[in-house]
Amino acid sequence: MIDTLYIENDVADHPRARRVCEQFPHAKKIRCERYTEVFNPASQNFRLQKRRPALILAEKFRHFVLETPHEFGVGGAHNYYFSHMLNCIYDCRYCFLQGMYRSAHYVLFVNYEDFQQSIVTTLARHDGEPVWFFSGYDCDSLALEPVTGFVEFFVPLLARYSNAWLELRTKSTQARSLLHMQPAKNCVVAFSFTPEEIWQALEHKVPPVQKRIDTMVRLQEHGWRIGLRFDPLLYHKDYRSQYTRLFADIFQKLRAHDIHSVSIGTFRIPAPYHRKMVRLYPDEPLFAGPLTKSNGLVSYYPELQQEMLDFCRTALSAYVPAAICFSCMQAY
Amino acid sequence: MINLVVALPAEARPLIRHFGLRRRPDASPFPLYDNDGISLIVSGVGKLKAAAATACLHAANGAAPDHAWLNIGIAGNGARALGEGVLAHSIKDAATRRCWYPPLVFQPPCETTAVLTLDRPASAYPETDSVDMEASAVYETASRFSTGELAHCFKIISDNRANPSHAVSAASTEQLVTQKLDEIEAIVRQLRQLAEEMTRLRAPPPEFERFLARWHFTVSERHRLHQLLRCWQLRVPERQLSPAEFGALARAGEVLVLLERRLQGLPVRLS
Ligand code: SF4
Repeated sequence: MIDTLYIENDVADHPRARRVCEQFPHAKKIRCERYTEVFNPASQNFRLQKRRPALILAEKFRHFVLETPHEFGVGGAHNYYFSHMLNCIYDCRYCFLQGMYRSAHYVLFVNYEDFQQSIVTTLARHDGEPVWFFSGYDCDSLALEPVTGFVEFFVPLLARYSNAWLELRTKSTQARSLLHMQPAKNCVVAFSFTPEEIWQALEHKVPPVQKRIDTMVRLQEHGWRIGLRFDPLLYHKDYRSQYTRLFADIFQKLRAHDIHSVSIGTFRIPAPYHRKMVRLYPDEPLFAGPLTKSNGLVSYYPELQQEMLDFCRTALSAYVPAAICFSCMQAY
Repeated sequence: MINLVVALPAEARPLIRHFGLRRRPDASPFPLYDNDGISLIVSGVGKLKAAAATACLHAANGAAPDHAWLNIGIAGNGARALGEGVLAHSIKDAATRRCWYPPLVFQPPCETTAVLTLDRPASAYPETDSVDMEASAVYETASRFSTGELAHCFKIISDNRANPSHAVSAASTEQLVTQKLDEIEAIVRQLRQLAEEMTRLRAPPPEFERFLARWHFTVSERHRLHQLLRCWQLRVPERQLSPAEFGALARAGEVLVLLERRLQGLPVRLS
């Protein structure tokens, strides 16, 4: 899956970097001074790199924990995100990462202990109030778990703090680590879904919807708190019937009363990212949809957005109380 | 289209024969050859000449944005065997210490190496790097013209600790390149495919030129027209638009307004 590793000279002897290297004995290993030399140059093409992304092992020096954009969250007052990894092994055509980064290589920051320090400091600043930490903002939280050991490190860490909440956001079926551990009460495993037809058209390399539902059910049975994320909602003339069927499929198997939260948000993307995505994928029907630009954001027409949000909220209300349903329309 | 940049006539000769290249008649400060989507320029030795020749070839080929580039040449490497072909996975300019990492989006047919580009021949070999005198200049220049995935450097080991560089001759250089034509051909094939894909993606919708011929569009209107025609093509690929459908309209702006309105009524597809 990964046949090239770029390794920053300073992390080459880091135990976590060494462990990752051992998992790819046949991969080409290329040393670099800083990951930015590989990841940031202007002359790169995300679409071409998606054919054969490399893994970059790097050290992060600052901005370990950041405030989430306004309106991002599931009811908490203090919301932060942190990214141990940049980019994702999946290839959803609507993903804003394609617009945000020049490179499709995956960057893994191996100095988890520095993230830990920053999380602890952030918690202390809020003096016992609930604080949310969202992972899976710049990557999928679980998809590369066998390589990163992210869950194994961060879930027990956050579990030690009664005022901390952790959201793992994923489209993956990599649940082994979670199934081998004691469920943490303050951790929400949030699964993102679109209907089967949209998965097929746009969520390249993502495991099938049914497999993800099964994974979610196994985690719920094991005691993990589950979140549902229908974000982005994507428009299509049959969207009502497709989303209705998706909700029915999910709630037929999942215990609805145990669900922690549900969030919905229609497709939206910052205009500069959208411009870049269209340049990369001019042949993508999604970008020829009924989109408009307003306040620096490209999204569906306001009436259509509202219609979709209203429809999905109503459809979801058959399964879950409105109090745990959140609209996320943040601008990233 | 792929552009090959070599330093020496002896490196060029086997490539000219293999790809059936012909000398171009246009006045160029560097010898320039081409045939069937492959161009070759002979830069001379050193970074300055290599950068100038790369820019010259870019201009000579119409300064198009999606050409592939391949620097081919001999290099020294203390540890590798004579005649080994290697693709650069990193290129460092010894003078400036700047480093580039050409993204390898295809499976190379050979080993890869770090290349160190020197300003003048060195008496000793670095630990693992291959050393040459052009790669950084070609890559830095070419990746301004095309995306980095389309620019690469292929080196053939001409000297090592046991076989020092003073023994390298024009004849041995020609022979080294000749022996690696299969690998060069494989890289050229993959790069050409990528370049063609990029060119295809950038191409305007088929009816674009016909609209431009019928009305006068300003630069921003041309962009908008391009976008709208692209959306049309994606929404109803089975139905090509014709300027005749907008025949009654006098101004480009009116065409865009009507086109936009008609698009809103079209079905939305996701695949
Ligand atoms: S799973 Fe999420 S992060 Fe990964 S490509 Fe899809 S949208 Fe992007």
